Amino acid sequence: MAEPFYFEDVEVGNELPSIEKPAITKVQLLQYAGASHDYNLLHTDDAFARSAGMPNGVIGHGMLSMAFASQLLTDWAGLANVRKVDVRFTAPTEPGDVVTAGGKVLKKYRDGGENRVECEIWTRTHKGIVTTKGTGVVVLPTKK
Amino acid sequence: MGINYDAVGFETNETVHHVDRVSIKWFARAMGDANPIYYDLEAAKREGFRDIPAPPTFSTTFRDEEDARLRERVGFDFSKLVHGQQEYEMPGPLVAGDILRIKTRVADIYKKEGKSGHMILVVTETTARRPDGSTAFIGRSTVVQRP
Repeated sequence: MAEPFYFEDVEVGNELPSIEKPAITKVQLLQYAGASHDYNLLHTDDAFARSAGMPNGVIGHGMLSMAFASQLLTDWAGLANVRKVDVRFTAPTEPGDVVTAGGKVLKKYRDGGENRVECEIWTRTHKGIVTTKGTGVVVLPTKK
Repeated sequence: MGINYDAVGFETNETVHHVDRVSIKWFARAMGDANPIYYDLEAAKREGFRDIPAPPTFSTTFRDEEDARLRERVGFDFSKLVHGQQEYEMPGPLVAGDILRIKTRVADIYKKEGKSGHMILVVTETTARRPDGSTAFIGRSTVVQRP
């Protein structure tokens, strides 16, 4: 967990501390299928995935990429402070991919009595392929 | 072909879901998040949670027969579906012990020209409420049927 910090400490343009996830494994995709109840065989059965047009077999769940993007926010601002995660799925992951999640501060504003920070967020594989792109909103405490 | 554009406005029946510690633990493990708040009640309490909290995208786990009914009503061709976009808004995290009433509405269906023909985009909105009527989360999902 990061050190506690305040709304005043954050400036538009600041980069969020990026996180690098361990390489995605086929076992992880089985675990994620079970944990999320997404049993689409595209993610767990190589023969099925190839027949559906995936040249290298199974691909990662889009929602697993989004989970990585959301961990960027929870590691940075704390789970209790996350108000919104919104991503477009721009490319799938594959087993072996090492995914990095990163982002930067887009906007600071007050809404519903909360001090909110809107961030651009993204996930990208070690091959440089962007797998999600979107925004996240967190609230931060003020010094006053 | 096969998509029922008049499914816009269709709403599933509300179903009840219980958030539990074991499901959260396995979800956090599958996404590779080692934060102790997802595994250890004492660690969660030290961080101010009343029970084990769930990661933000845990909201994707509440699937049931009503989703199948919605997909059937829309007329999806499963072999051509891609998840296009997903959004979750929440006033705070779900925690183990939460009881949620969840329903999903078809918000929009529209066509968009892609490189290899027209794609059909289906937007759904999922609302989860706690027993006191407050919103636990809102999910907005865009699913794309490729040509």
